[in-house]
Amino acid sequence: MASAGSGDEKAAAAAMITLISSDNEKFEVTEATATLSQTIRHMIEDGCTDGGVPLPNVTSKILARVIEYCKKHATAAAGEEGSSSSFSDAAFLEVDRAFLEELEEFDDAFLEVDRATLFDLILAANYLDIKGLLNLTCQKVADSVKGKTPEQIREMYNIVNDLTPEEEAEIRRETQWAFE
Amino acid sequence: MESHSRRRRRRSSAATEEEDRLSSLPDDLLHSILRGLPLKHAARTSSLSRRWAHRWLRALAASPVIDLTDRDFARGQPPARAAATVTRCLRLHAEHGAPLHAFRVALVSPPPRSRRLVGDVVGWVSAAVARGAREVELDLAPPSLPQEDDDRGAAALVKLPADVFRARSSLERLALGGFSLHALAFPAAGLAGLRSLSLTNTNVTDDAVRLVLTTCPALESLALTRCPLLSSVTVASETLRALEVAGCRAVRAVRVAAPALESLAFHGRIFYFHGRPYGDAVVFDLGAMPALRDAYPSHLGCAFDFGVAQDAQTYPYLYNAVAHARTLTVCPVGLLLLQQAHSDDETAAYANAPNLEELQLLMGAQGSLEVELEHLSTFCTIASLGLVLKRLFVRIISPAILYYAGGGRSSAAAAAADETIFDQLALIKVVNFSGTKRELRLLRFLLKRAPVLEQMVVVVAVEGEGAPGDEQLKALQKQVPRLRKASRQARVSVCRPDQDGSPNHARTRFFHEE
Repeated sequence: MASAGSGDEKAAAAAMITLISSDNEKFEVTEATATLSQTIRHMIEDGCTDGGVPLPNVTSKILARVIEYCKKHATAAAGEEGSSSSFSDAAFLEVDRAFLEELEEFDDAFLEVDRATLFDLILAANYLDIKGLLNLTCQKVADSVKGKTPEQIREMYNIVNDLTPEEEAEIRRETQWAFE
Repeated sequence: MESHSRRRRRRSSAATEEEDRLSSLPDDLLHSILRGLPLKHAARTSSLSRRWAHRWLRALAASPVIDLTDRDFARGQPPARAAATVTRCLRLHAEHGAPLHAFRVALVSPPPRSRRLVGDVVGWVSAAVARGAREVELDLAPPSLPQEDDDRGAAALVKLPADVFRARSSLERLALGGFSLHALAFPAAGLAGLRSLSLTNTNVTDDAVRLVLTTCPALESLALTRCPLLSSVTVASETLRALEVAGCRAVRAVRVAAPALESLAFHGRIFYFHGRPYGDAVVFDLGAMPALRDAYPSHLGCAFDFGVAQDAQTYPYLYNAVAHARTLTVCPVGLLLLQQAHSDDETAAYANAPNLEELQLLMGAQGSLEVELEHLSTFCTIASLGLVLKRLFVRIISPAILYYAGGGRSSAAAAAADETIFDQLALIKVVNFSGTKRELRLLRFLLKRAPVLEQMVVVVAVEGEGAPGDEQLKALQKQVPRLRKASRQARVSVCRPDQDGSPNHARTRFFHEE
């Protein structure tokens, strides 16, 4: 890391964290970005991030995506803190609204991934404890299931039906109301 | 054999495609996904495989909010089966050990013979309260959807035992439907922290309402719906902010002393005629409500024939008491009664509506549009609406609930109809539109009188309830924006409900639809 430079640069450098993916790729991120992950936040609080944070459950491909999400949302979080202080006039609210819309667009575009990546993102968000990302990705799966018949869902996600015909019939009876 | 070999080939070409990654997720992640689905859609996953069997119920049982208020859950299966699911969910929840914040269930009322079921239902209330729930909602609906003015008191009520609210509790919001409250002992320490209470189809009495109000010193919201024993409702509270009295058919007097009230809704017979079967008009005695923002004095849903007015002052009194609200919802009968009172005595004093920004009109889909527009114009004159109104919401309502023939047409009113101009009106939204000639004339009437209009949104009826077909919608989308309008900059659009992103009136629940 940069050792020389002005105080400002030093402070900025001090607030950087190195994340190490399962395939040994290193990612430098700001502390503000990294601490969207509760897991990493706790590590920082415990002072065990020197020499980088190994994330043996996350590949570089997925970690890059997760960092992309965190960067965007860390800026959003910083913006929100600013707005709650003294700005409350209509113009500022308008800017706020525009920013939220942009964030929503970002999230939508972010979710345009294949299914395997989506599940990798869910597991990474769960492991890193990033609430926003976990909700976002879980909701994406929920939306894909909504309105589908059990047969369609099985087909979509390669679910093998291991219920006996009797068991299945019994469950279908119990949940018949949900198919009205 | 054949399918086996095919599967093997696929597997070797794209191994990841074959994996069931969804079912391999840990329980808590599956639960998060299931909680992102509406109850019904979550329940449909139960038959996917062994991993998914009853998973939706476990997801619910692992959450601090148990919400089983789906309409089909209540109506689409025998009460005993629904009840078994609720009991199972509560048991799983207790085993899981998560805190319980809210417990909401809607069910068809169990038959009174079924002691076990009745016992189960009472047990849920006790269990939820004992587990520290802040919110309990248990709505037992009558077996068949009752008609308006039906004697709902006849439906069997489930008796709550005396001690269910005796111990101190965390309850803040309580909603009960279909219960007998006679045995409840007051004061009830368990209700002392209530901020919101809603009673629907219960045998609550006038005295019990008074007792409840003294028992709940922090009560902010009170709703009394279809409680047939209420006759004289007295509400005195320093804290109450919202009050609803709806469909309580024996109510003859409403006395309110609630200076903090922000929202008032009354739905029932505000005004009617001497002689059987309607009895005397309701007497209102409303104290000052300086903070009132939203009022819904409604009359709809109670069928009556319009005849000769005996006491035409009740509705105008009610209107005067709420005229300073910021948002108002009125029905055609209300407008008719104001018109009637106005033409009976044109010197009578009416309050202006100096703060009224949003008006919501419920308009009949049939009947004489001229008459309705005339009533509207009279109302505008009485309230000086033309000067203040910014947003107008019109909801076309089903014809089955309107049973009046128009009142006398006065020349003054006819003149008023021509003069009405809405100087401030920026938004008009018409909902439940089906594109009849009559409805188009309503649009023309409004467009001609709104010189600074910015936007008119026309939302067609819900699919299956008089919704125009695709072709007709296209035609409307061409025709409506071409209607003559007083405002040059007005944007006019026609869309289906799911395409509508425009703002709604503060009130989106309508008593006549319940």
